[in-house]
Amino acid sequence: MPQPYELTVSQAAQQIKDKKLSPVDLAQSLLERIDATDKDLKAWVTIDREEVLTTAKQREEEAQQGKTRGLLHGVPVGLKDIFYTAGMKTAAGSKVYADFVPDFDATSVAKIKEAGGIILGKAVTTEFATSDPSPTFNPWNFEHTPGGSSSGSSVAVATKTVGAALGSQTGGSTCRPAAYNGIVGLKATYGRISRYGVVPVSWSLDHVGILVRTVEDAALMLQVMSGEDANDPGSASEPVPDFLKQMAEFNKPPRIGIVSQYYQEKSTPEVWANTQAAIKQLTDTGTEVVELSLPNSFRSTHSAQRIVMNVECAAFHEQFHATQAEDYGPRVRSGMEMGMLVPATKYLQAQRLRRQFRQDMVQMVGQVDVVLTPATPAPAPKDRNTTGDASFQVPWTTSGLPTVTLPSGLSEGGMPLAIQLGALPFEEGKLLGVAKWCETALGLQLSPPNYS
Amino acid sequence: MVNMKPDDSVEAIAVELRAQAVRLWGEHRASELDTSIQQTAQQLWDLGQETPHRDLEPGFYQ
Repeated sequence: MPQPYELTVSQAAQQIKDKKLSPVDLAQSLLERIDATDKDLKAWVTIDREEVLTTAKQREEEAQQGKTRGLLHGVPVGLKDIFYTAGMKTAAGSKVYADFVPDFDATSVAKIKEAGGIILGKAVTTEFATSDPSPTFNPWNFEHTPGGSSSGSSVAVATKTVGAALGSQTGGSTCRPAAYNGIVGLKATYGRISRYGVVPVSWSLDHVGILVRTVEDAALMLQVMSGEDANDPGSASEPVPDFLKQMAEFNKPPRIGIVSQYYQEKSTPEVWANTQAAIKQLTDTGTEVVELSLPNSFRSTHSAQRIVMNVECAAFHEQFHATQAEDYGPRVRSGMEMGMLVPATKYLQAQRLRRQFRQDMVQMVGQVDVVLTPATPAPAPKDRNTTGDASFQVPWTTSGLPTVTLPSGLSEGGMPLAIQLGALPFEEGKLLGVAKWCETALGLQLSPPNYS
Repeated sequence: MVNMKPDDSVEAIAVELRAQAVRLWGEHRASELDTSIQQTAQQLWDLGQETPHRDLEPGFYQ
């Protein structure tokens, strides 16, 4: 019989619905797990235990009466500390926001609550979700980076102190730490999940991210949070399908595209061999594999992403920077200062090139069900002064196409390796269906040995 | 203001960026930013190598 903290989101929600699990017992189990692990891991920054247990008690009473609010009834969820929470500090890992207490919930947080979810607490983020490393430790090996910027959320999920946590991605901040910690990360299509009430890095690049331990949980969380939001100017009016149904109905061998160009060159031999081994396992299940070529517009996509991110970051922080520049970490500060130097014409050229790249990516990805790449060029670096390499996520973030990352093995040094799948805009149902297919074919669920 | 010509080299772009950084934040801070300035100059140069189609408008919200 597993401990409540070991349950996935889907398992916990089902057991609560079936009156086999008490939301209070689940919340208590997770809080005790945090007490037992977080002194070492430093994944959590703010937890209101009284509020968690009070809400869990309410959900328990409702469940006992057969009343459930939605898919997450009684299930705790963690939030990267850039998501606004009414009445709860949202410090964004920064001195500049150290005392900021929002008076409303981010739309994604409100949707979690509407679905019966319980906000367990705020997870550590790198400063303003950029690249100055956070204090969080990688549970697989404390000498390696946990990645960033969603470091606390990823480590919290990997070590089973929560079943699901929200992250964000402007470059590679959800799928890269997911890969480094051996869990599942989902970045939906730009506009699918509202950004309203999320401290921005870059308005036109920021995505809300999902960190979980199974593909099914990724689909469930996406279902809860998707939808148009008038408060987010980048929100899409695309209808929200039944992702769980679409995922379950995808039951034929997929047609997968691989891109050796660039991804092979940039990967370590070990990572590339692991990806090839994963592809072999998939072809054994009947998967068709097609080699694809990157569009010419790929050449400038990393530079375009960096220019757009720095300029928009500079615009957001301009007033704080004028009076509190010394309060910023070195990398976030230099990034915004670079943004202040970029001419407006160059920013607009970067946005034009992004648009071209997105159009070209749609053409490329449209030839297959999904494109498969390694998730990162190498496993989590043995260096706590970096958050790792986001270059394999950047093309997908820049173009706004949806991606999912899932574990594909362990390196010789015992660190997680992962693959990344990308699909057409707003085809998350198919993406998750293929991801589920891959998860089953690879038959792998990783757990850090000291935190199993 | 930063002045750049379409055919400027990475080094020429870096010189312009650095001059602007000195004007805004002084010589000391500009020196601290040298690595970032080189990277940004390279990124701006990369963008300058591409010629977007004349009818292509910026993406912003994808």
